[in-house]
Amino acid sequence: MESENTTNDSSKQSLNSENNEQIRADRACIGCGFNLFGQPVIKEEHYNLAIARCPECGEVAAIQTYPTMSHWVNRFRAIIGAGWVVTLIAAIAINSLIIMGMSFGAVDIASEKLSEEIGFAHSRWVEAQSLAAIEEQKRVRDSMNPVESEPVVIESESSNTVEDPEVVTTDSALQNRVSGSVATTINGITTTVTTESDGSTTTSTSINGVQTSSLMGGSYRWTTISNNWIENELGPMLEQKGGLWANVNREFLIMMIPIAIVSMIAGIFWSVALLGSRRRVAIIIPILVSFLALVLVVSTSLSDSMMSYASEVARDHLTFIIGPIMVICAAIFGLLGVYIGRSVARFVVLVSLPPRSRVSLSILWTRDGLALPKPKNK
Amino acid sequence: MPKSHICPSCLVELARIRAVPDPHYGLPVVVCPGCKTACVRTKHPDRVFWRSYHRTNIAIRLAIGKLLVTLISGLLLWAFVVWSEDVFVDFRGKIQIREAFTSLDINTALGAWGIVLFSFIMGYSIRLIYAHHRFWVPLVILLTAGTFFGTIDYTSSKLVELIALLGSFEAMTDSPSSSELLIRGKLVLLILIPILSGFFVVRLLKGSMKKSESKKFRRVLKKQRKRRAYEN
Repeated sequence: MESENTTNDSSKQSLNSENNEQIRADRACIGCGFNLFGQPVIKEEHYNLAIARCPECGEVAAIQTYPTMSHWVNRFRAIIGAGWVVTLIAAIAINSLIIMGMSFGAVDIASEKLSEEIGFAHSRWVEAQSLAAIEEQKRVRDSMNPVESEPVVIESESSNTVEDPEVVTTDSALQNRVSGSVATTINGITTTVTTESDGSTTTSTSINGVQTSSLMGGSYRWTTISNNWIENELGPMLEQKGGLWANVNREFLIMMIPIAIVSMIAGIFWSVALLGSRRRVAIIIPILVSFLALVLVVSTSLSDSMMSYASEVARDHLTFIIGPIMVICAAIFGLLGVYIGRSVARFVVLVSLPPRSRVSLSILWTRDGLALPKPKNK
Repeated sequence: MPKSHICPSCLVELARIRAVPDPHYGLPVVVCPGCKTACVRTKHPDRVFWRSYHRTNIAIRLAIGKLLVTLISGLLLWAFVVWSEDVFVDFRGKIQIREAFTSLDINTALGAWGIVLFSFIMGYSIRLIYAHHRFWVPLVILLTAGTFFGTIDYTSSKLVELIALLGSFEAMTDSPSSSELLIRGKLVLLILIPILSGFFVVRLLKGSMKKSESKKFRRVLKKQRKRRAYEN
């Protein structure tokens, strides 16, 4: 029965193709991709549609419609759109991180002078604590009744050896009797006096078990600062030195040049990348980026650590002044970039591309209600 | 070969008939010669999407590439001007061209010839990438890019000096004096000679390049026709 029906259908189709038209150009079969060139075009009986049958796979091609691949176009569009959104989100993060990094660079430069001051003041204070501890140990040894002293486990190579000739030379009786280490902790600074068998003594200081060093490479920046000193001594020291702003290294202003250039380029990028939105909406992105960078800078500075170097203490204090200055600078130039971005892009396209290729990027004009410039004759 | 386009009324192949934009809507309309039915020649959405995607992609790449080449050329122009101060200007502040080229000091001679060679290449490439513009446009673009970098250099050195004044530290920059700027201007004019000769070479080769391009196009077309004939 089926074979009969098929025969009837084909005979009807052949009857319908009275004019015997053929495909005289390229048309791929939707089933197998075979070129239907030369195949007869007929009108099928049910709907009177023009069709051609593939000689290879027998697939019927509706001549007046597109093959059923159009939903893939929408899928591709969705994939590309999603990829673009992800790229933009990543670009926001990268832009924020760049501004954050540059702000930190500026804070680093600005805090050079203050960190030296802090390190130096702290070293003097540690020395005073150490001397007081030695005095205390001497007093205890004299009375042979230790109050605050306790035997210590700390036995490390001291990078900061302070010898007190007074102790060593005056207490010879004690030298002959005692050999070992005695530690005293005053204001969080542990001073360990080690007496060798030959009678010589070495003194080392530590904060929370970490050896202190006042000078590293001729700089006080990497001095370990105790929390006691930060709580009690830092404020008065800063007041004495004229406040934070007086101790800022003004060289940090140089960082404004790269941050301005980078932010303006980023602004131009955002202006072109956000063609779907108006300029007044597009300016939100540089503001958002700057805000994120500021949050990152501040939150990184607020993260507290048990041990801190002089440079870290100085950075923590100056971040709240220098960080916002740099971020505001980035925001201003980012906004400027957004404002001029599309004009710059239009100029670049106009100058660099021949008129035929400009058409693909005509959205740069049409989005702002402008007409694509007509080519001038040479 | 054109893509197939069948008349919906009489099934005649219309692919070889040119679609003329109609005066009312600007649509590519084809009128069937047999039954006089007017039908619009629409492109397949798949093909339209990918073609426009590729075209836009190529256009963006071209624009960015040309922008980068221009910026690099501007930077090189500025670098050559600064470099030629060491090569062509003697200790009295006078420009000595012949002495530089025939100098016994290998660095000076190599520097002089290097500047000329690279300036020529720069001029050639700039003229080539801006071939769709008039002769003077690439020159203006190149000079603007060079001036842009020169201005950045000059402004930043002045800014550093200003910041140094604020911060009471010694600035490590050495911004040029007015006499140095005058010498730099003269050097720019000197460097323009090889750059412009690069421009002229492109102009001379333009005809032969066009010929070779069309030859290549014809060759490709011939190949495609042969292949199609074999397939059919």
